[in-house]
Amino acid sequence: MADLIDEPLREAFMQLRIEVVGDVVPPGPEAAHRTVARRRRMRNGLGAGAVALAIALGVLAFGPHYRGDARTGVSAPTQANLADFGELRRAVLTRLGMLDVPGQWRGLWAWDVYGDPAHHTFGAGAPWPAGTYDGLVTCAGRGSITVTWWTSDTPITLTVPCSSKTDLAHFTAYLPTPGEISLIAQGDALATGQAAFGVLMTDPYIVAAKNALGPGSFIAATSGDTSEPRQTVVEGTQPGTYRVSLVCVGTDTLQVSFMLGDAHTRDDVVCTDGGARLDLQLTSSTVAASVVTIVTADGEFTGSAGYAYGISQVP
Amino acid sequence: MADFDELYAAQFTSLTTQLYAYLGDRQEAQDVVQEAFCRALARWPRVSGYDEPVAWVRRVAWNLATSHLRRGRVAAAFRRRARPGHEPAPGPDRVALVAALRELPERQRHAVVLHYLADQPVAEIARAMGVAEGTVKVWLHRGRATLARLLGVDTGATRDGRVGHG
Repeated sequence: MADLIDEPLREAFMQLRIEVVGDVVPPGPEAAHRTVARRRRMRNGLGAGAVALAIALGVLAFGPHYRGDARTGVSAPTQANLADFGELRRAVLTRLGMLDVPGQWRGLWAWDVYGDPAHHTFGAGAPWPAGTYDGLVTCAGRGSITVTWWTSDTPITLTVPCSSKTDLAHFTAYLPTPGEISLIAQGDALATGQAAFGVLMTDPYIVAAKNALGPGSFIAATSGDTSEPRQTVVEGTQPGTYRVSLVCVGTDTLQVSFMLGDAHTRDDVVCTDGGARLDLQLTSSTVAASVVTIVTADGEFTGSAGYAYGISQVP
Repeated sequence: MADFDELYAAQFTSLTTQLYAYLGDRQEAQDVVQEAFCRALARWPRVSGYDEPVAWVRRVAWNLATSHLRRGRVAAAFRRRARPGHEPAPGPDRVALVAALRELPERQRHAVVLHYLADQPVAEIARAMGVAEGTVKVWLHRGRATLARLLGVDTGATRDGRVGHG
């Protein structure tokens, strides 16, 4: 019986090997050499020099939730009421909003603070697209963590307190061409063995789409990317005329369907790197649910575009 | 002393295939294997002196992959994130096999992949995973049975060696 099963399974795995060989694109040993050399430079550059550089550049940017000292990014260590690394890391992920909603993010790095610096490279296997990435850093536990990142040879650092508060520090990283964003994190003596941190990078397609859409008095607004189909339902839409605006950045073609009460429309939007925009008006005469459906025209969900839309009522 | 570039060229694709079968995401598998090679390179004077440097790389890659998986829903959400660019769609048999593998318990899947894709005998799998050979045999037996059921392998249809999927 086992042999009867084994034979076709071996064939299936052999077919898998054959098929995957054609798809794998190794970054190459040269990329590994570059990564290791860069990490060595990072390790050697860590310390007073790199921190001084960050302060001199004045690039530290803190989001509205950040309550630390924006000049140094360090606040007094707080005793965490957290038991272990697992709990610390869960706290970190919860702060970053990752446990329930994928959100507008492209990469996540969560790790525990040990004595040695920790390294991570976003886009190591497949280069990330060029663009401006927003990063969020948080650390739970004690002490502080210093995160250094670079998209070229110039390191930029940010020091974040590790505490039980929901502090989130914000930074931006600009990739002029598709490539990697490398990070190294080093905890201070107090954090070692008693802290966990997380770094989350947003998706530049979605960020660009949201920026292009701009602010508005939207009764409904959503953003996302084309890694999965999306349907949003808003109950109790009142009769009236509505303005719908959508922006798509990237390389997919969207099929978008807006059904507002008894009015509906369906359009294809060819996304562009600069942002393709759709503006339309719909008038509904009944109280009913609104349903917005966004899929890709080719039915593939590769995540190679981001979109944002807003619906506002015309007075 | 082994040459890093030669080892990389000889083993990258094979290791990526194994990790792809384990993780279910080829890009993530590539990331993990690349990271394992970077770590080997950083310690190359030591790693290259081992009898089998690839065993060290494989071990690190699997550890990284396991760490990824244990992030639970976070990792699952991360894997759903597609990378830029369009890729050819995998064939239905490959989709079915990868999907079936993901139904296996983590350790069982690890053993099955090492057996079928790394061509490792039971004794080596047991050593790599730190368990008794009997345990590996049980995992492989159960893994085979589950895969056969999920892939619709009909023992009566094995005369022509076809694997169906239903």
